[in-house]
Amino acid sequence: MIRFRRGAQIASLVAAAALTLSACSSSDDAESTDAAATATVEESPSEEVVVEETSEETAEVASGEFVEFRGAEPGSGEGVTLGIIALDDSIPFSKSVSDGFKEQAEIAGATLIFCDSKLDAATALACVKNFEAQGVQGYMNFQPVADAGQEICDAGPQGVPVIAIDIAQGDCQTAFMGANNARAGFIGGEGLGNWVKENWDCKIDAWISLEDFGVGSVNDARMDGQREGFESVCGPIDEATTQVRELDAGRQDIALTAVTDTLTALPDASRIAVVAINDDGISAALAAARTAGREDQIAVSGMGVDKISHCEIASGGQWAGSAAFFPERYGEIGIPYLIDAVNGVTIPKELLVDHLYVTENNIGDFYDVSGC
Amino acid sequence: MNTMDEGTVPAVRDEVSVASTLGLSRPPRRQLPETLALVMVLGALILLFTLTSPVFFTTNNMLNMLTSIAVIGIMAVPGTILLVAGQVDLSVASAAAMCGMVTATLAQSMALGSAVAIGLAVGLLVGVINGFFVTVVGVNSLIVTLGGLATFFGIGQLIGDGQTVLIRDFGYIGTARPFLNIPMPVIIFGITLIAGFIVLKYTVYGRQVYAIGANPVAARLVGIPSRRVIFVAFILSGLAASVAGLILVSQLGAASPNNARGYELLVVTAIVLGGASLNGGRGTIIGTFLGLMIIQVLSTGLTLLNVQSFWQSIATGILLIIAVSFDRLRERLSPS
Amino acid sequence: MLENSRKEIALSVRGIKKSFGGVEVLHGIDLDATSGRVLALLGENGAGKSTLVKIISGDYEPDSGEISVANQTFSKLTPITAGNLGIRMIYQEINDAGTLSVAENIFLGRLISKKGFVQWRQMRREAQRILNDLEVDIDPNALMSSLRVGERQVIEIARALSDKAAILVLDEPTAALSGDEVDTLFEFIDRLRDKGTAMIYITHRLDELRRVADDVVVLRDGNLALSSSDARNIDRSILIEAMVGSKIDEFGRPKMNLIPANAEPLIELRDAASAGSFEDANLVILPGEVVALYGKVGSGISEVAEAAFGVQKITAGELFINGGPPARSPRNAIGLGVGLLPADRKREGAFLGLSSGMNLVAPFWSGVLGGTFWANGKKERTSFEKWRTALRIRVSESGADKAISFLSGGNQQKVLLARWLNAGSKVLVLLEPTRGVDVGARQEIYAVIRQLADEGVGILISTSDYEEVVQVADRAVVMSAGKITSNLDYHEVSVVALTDASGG
Repeated sequence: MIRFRRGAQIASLVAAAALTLSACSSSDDAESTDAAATATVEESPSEEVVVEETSEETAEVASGEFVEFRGAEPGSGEGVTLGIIALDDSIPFSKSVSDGFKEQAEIAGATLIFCDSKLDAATALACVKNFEAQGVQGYMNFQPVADAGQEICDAGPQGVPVIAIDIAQGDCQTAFMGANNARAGFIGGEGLGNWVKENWDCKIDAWISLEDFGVGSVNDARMDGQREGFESVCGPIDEATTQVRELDAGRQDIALTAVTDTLTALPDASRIAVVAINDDGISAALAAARTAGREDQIAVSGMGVDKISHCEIASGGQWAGSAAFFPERYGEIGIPYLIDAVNGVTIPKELLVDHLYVTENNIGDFYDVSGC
Repeated sequence: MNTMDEGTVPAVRDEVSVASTLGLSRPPRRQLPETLALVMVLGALILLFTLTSPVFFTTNNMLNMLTSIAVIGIMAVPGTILLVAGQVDLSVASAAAMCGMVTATLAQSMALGSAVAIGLAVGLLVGVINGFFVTVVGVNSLIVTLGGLATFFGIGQLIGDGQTVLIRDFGYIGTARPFLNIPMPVIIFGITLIAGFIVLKYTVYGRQVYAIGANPVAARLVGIPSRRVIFVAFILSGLAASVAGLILVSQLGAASPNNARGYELLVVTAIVLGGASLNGGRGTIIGTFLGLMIIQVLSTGLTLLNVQSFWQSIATGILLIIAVSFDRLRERLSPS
Repeated sequence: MLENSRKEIALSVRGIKKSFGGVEVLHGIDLDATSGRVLALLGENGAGKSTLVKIISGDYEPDSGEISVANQTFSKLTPITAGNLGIRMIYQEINDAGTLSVAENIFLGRLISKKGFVQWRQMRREAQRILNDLEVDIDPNALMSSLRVGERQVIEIARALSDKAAILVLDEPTAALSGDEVDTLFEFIDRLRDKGTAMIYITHRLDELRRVADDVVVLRDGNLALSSSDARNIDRSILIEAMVGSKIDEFGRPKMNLIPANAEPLIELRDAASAGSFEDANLVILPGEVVALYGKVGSGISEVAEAAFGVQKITAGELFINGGPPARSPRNAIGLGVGLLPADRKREGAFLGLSSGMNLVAPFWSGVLGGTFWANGKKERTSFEKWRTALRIRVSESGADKAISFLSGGNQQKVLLARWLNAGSKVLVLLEPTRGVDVGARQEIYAVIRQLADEGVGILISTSDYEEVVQVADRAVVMSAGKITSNLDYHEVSVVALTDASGG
């Protein structure tokens, strides 16, 4: 799958513009959840996927191409100097990514030079010049402006491997690493489908989709993915018998009101499937249903496995599960592969992170839910 | 030079003396015309949605709507007092989110009661800070609270590291229905409304507020302690923000720094729609309540009808413009 | 030096008549302004000076008569034709841009530019040349705001003259100037005279005449009352009589009020001064007397009155209220039993959106007259009814609950006056109490003032209306340019004495 080199110029321009905008807005808005932060930074690749690929290829993505989390070999990075340009560590998603890289670099024994772009391409440019001066042998780039990627390539150390994180970074990019929103959506929908199949025999009266129209293609990738995943288990949703509501409610408090009203509008629906762009929306939907005394009439599935979801998922109630993004584990892929590349080993051009569906059964493997 | 045109003086005097013999300078106007118009608009919306949606005019939905406006409504009550006094507090929504974050975060490591008390105290502090900059330093309230909006939002993010924070066993003020099946937020909102109504209409403090808004210079010349009055209004606003923030946290079982964002504009929209003048001196709690109801009925009604949320946004936007146009027209038509 | 200048008539006005709303305010005025001479235009407020000047500047169109400038005769002018003919107006308020340089101000609105770029160097050179021509020693690069008021006035004139000004109309140019600034201006006018500029100088101040004017015209009630080409030697009493005319004996005086000899002063100023407003003020208000503080606008009367209410701060000397320390704020003053009726009813007095009843009881909201938590709506109504009868406030039955903006100016003023009667004030400070009030209501307000004095209230009226002084005051203190120029006792108060003292 060739995604970035062959990219239509217009597509990358659009993507860059959209990205810059959303990146700016995220600096103002500083989206609170992992999921939302992911949404903010991933527009570029997704946009290009939409433009370039056929639907067949999209399905291929959804079916899953990812690399396993490896973790760095202790000592494998002795004497190696690596660099990382962070997105903006005041955003939790970015910080999780950075922290994971730092941890893995330490395990490997590599020197990691950290530089925060603070959502600014000019700062990122200064970062790579600094990398050059410090003799960096390979670096990860998470700076936000796709358009500036080439310039940053040219200004940085030449001939060293570069792993782009979530955003394309020009011709020096050795590999692209990142989330796969369509895939994440798909496994989320699939997970919900399995729950509904088991409990309601795949019969639903309503499908509520809590979206964030403001984030564009990422929203589409995730939400379409969730529906496709659901339909892959329970078959197509029949809109003649199932009420479909797509609500712009990417925020807890807005979702609370919207779901409250929607439940009121659907007094006779007793099997309602709810998906959302993030776990915040799902937690609000659950709160709304509880207030209305209709908790047992909804089944929900989230994105992100945020802290607020842990106990709900672990309790085995109506929250079927959430798709995990594991930003804190990006380092387990990025560091070993980058060290490989520095050592002259050829690495895949695509390092897509696995998205795992976290449910009642496996949540204990990832998070401590003993206090629930 | 003599700016008054000497030549026109006799003409003006003629008019005045005629008017004074009649005892009035203008024909009498109807009392409360704007409230009447609001009641009619609200009635029309309710009728429209009742006819188009079978579930709209149900007890359940009415309670839902009141619950939904409770958070904004609680902030709109002191907001009305402030606007009548010619001031505005744009920091309420982010202060609400911040107070929620404070309480939810502290509740992880201390007794719930103490965490709630500290959350309320933070609201009080917000009021003190806003009041200090407006009345003591003398900065325009729009600027002060615009700064507060950004600052408190940032602090809310800082507290939870940008994350949504869970809170346990704090459902009472958000979800309980202790009395006649009425949700707690509605009860608290109702109490706030009644208190605000009494304060503005029947207390000397209320009179002071109207006087300051109607004519700040004259208020000073009749000895009204304007700064103290405005300071108190900001404190009430800060407190209301913290109560609203806590209700929201209680309803959601979690606090997010993003919660309530943009509500400050809904608060101002509702107040202005309810007949308050952005120039101060005019506005009532009943009007504000009607303004809130119109916004909520519109929003809930459109959701019930499954109208795309784009349209809800457009409708709210148009409502805001209409509200401000109302205000301007009233100013122009009012006797001066 | 007069004899050296050319003496052609620069502007000539013949038979100008003008009516507003059917009332003729100019009854056929003739007037000539001569090159190299200053024509003083005198007259009381309402005499028609402003209307005449606005006809000359093209702002108003005369009903009949003609205006001749530079051998051309017009039945009317427009601001543009007047400008083209070289007629320039200088107003008493300075309209400059304080944040810009002197040069920029001189060329304000017509900056020298080439292809859209301002030619700064050329402009500074030109400005320097104009200033040199006028023998003014001001740096064209200086910021306007760094200049003194008199210098700014001079720059305003320089601006007016920087293109072909032939006739300069100065409307009370000294109103805002201090003593030596006035001298600067007069020297400047002398130089302009030598250069042959024709000037029309509008003023209230009689002794400026002797210093600056060559010719004089006095208007009274829209008529030409006096015209002389020997302004410097004309007798002062003749000018005053021309200005006030038969009004001298028109007004009745109030009955003389006997003040007990042992009365303690309610307000006392001893050598009091407030920087920039007034100085060396000595004034005593006793219970039961009405003292008028008379002077032109800007003479310092309102500032002295406001000082008694704690609005204006005293920077030197002493002020006593009830024999004790002065009020620090209006709130404090109200607590001391002082009430203030401000000059600008709409901006400073009334709460237009609130009911008449509320407007009436507003001082009780200060908390210093015995604060309560609950507002007493019933008392608002009963108080209003009480004073409505006493002051004959004309309003319909639901008057107390109706917004005060529905009342006429005179009735609003009565409510604002009743405010302090209702609050039981022992001292009243009234600023221009009958401005904009119709004649009937005015007499009623005077009656109330006299009645209050009989009840022992001390009243200080700051007014620029001499009729008011004559009709209502026991005695008068006259101010001019921030200083008390005269103390007139009961028998000395007269229109002539007031005009004389305030013009000095």
